[in-house]
Amino acid sequence: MAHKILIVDDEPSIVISLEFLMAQNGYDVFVARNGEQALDLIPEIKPDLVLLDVMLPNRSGFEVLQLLRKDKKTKHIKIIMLTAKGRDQDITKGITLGADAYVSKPFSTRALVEKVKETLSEANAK
Amino acid sequence: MRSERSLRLLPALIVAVILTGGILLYAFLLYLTTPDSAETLQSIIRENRPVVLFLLLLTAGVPAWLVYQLIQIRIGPVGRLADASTLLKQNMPPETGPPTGIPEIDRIASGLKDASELLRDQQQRLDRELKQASTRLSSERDVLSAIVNQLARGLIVTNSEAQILLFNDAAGRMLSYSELSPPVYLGLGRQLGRILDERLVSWAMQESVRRTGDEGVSFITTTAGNRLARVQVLPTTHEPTAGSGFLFFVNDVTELKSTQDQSSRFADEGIRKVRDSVAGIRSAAENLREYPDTDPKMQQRFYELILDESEKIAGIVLEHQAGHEERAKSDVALSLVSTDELFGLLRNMEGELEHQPEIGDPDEELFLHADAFTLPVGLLFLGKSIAEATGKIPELKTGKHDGYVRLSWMWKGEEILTEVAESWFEARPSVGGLQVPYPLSEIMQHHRAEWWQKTSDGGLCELSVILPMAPERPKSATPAAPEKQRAEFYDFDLFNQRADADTLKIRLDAITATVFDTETTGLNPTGGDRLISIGAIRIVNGKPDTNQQFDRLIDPGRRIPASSTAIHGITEDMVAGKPGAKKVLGDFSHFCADDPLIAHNAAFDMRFLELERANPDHFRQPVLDTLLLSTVLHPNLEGHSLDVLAERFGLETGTRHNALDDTLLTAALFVKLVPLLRSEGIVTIEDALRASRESLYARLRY
Repeated sequence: MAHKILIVDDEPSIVISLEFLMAQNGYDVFVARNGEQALDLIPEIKPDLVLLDVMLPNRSGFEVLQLLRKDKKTKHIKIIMLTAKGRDQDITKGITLGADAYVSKPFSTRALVEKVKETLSEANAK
Repeated sequence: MRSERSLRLLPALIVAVILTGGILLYAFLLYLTTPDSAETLQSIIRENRPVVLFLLLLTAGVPAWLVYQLIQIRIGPVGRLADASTLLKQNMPPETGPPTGIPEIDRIASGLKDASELLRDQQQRLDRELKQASTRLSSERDVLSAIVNQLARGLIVTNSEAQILLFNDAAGRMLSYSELSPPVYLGLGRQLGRILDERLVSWAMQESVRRTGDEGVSFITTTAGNRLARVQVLPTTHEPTAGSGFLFFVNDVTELKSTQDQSSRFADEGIRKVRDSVAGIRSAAENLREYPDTDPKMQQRFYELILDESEKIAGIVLEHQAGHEERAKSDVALSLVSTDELFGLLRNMEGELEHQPEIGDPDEELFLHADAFTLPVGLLFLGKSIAEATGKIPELKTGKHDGYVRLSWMWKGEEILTEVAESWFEARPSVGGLQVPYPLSEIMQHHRAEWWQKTSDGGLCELSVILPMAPERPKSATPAAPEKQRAEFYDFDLFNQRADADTLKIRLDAITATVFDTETTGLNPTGGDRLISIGAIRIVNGKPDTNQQFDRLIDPGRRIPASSTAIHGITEDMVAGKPGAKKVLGDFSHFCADDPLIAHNAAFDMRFLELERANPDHFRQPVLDTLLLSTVLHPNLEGHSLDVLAERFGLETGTRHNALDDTLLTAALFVKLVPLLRSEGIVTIEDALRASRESLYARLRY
């Protein structure tokens, strides 16, 4: 069965490209436009991995991350943070708060796909 | 006044009276020896009681009157001469009074007069020389002021008690607000703690002595005019000695900070937007390359996306360029601080806190770029807030996080609600009176810092702040002590005046006080008379400072009688539209602050002040009265009015009976009185008050 990936970002151009890219690589792709929506969708979809942007309307990516990590049902979900802030502080913060990986924008699509694969295989290995 | 002739006749008259009295007494005694004398005498007394009583009074009264006159004539002039000789001893022209008709006394008097003329000549010569010397001194002073005034930064020099010794124009412009309500006066001899936040000033002074670097200590505060000022504090020497003081450099950073805020907001947001757009372009382009077989519709979408996002970037770049120059100059440097130093700063600041967070030693010495005021206040504010919210005492820990220094408050217990923690970052942090005048989030932005809260499985909570790590400071042997740079040609006597907590112990010759005078509608404060003018000047370190004057008219809210206008020349037209006494006295209370007050015939002026002040706490400081002090020195001289004393002390009188002119005269008089009081053993304010009290009682008994 294909892995489920939830893309959480409010930038349409990135969502379009990511959606296409992930679909091309054989994943089931879902999209949320903000943090609130992501939290609503996750229990329903039960994604294997979330591509989570930091700067989101309503709830920040960090908040979503912390809430997911607190809940036993969502604790195991792999999370890759996306940031456009361009500050390493964000990466340090994200990793400390429990993100599995961190990708800063602009990213190479190839590298991102690699990262997704790598992260999911870690999950399978467990 | 008695004529000279009658004075000469008086001794002869006394002799005549005594002779006559003696003969009469002898005749009376002879008569008493005759047999019937007692009975006859009794009958005479019984029949002529009033006449006999009158005669008895006369016989007792005439000698008493004569003795009184003798004392007046013989002793009075001697007393005056005694005062006159005291004056001479004190280098003052003596007053010997009119000739007495008694040759010995008059000879002494004329001798004293000659001596006094000689003295007056010498004094004039001395005055001339003094004037020349002080002209030289003041020209040197002018050179220093000119140099100091050239500084674009505000500069204030204080003694170790934060009393202002010197300040330049720039500091005056930034910190003096005489138009405000309440007004703020920057002036020599004033406490800097009344102009800037007192606790910040004393914290910075202590901290600057403790730290050995040559940067001193800085803090940011809001001025009375609601401007943002960055104040850098440097001690003149690191060893606390009698002559040590502090330099306060003041910069108005209101505009600087707002452009800086804009700039860092812009940098953050601009970069984020560019990254977003580039991410879109890059992934679209890569998708096109990697998946050439994609359907044309999708391909078209990617091309359009690339075009749109490229235009967005072009716009951001143009905008960024426009703001570039502004930002280049607004870059306020943070200084290199080690975690050891930071913990030291924190420990010093937390002194006043009720819940003191635990600050041990940093686990590791790391370096970061930080503002030595805003960052510690911000961190401590977080620690304090955690303690208040959870009831637990958090502990500060340090850590390294690839390229970042982590400062974490750790505690076991409840986590802080995200909304609550966020509200702390939107607040202006303050710790025991040290307050940063803008929100913590801006401090974080300035330091390129990030924060989070996390709870580990063991229930250990942390609220962490990370800041970019800085390269280690090159180790120097020992920090070089700043060279001693003392301006030798400036009057820095105030350096040595430790403003004793007990005002009463302050020496009169080093006093900082406010001299004042009032004009009123009449002489009866309780009968409806009111203040119409108040003038004041400050005496700083025993010398009048003409730069610090207060001269205000007051609308008394009633008619001004022509009889009083005749004295002070103030008409109803002149006071029309002027503020009332409450407002003016409120401003005056800020002008004189806690200074002791000095006035001539102070009881009169104080009565008006007490009746018309808005706040009963105002004007409760010690009051010295130059009239009483004059009577302390010369109890036997008759005149102690300002006019008489001005004449006696050879003081120039201007347009008299104008509150400010009278004030200047009173100040000059006080300066003259001080050395004379000292020679009588009256040295401190306390001595002067005691002596005044005694002299007042002595006068009342008369």
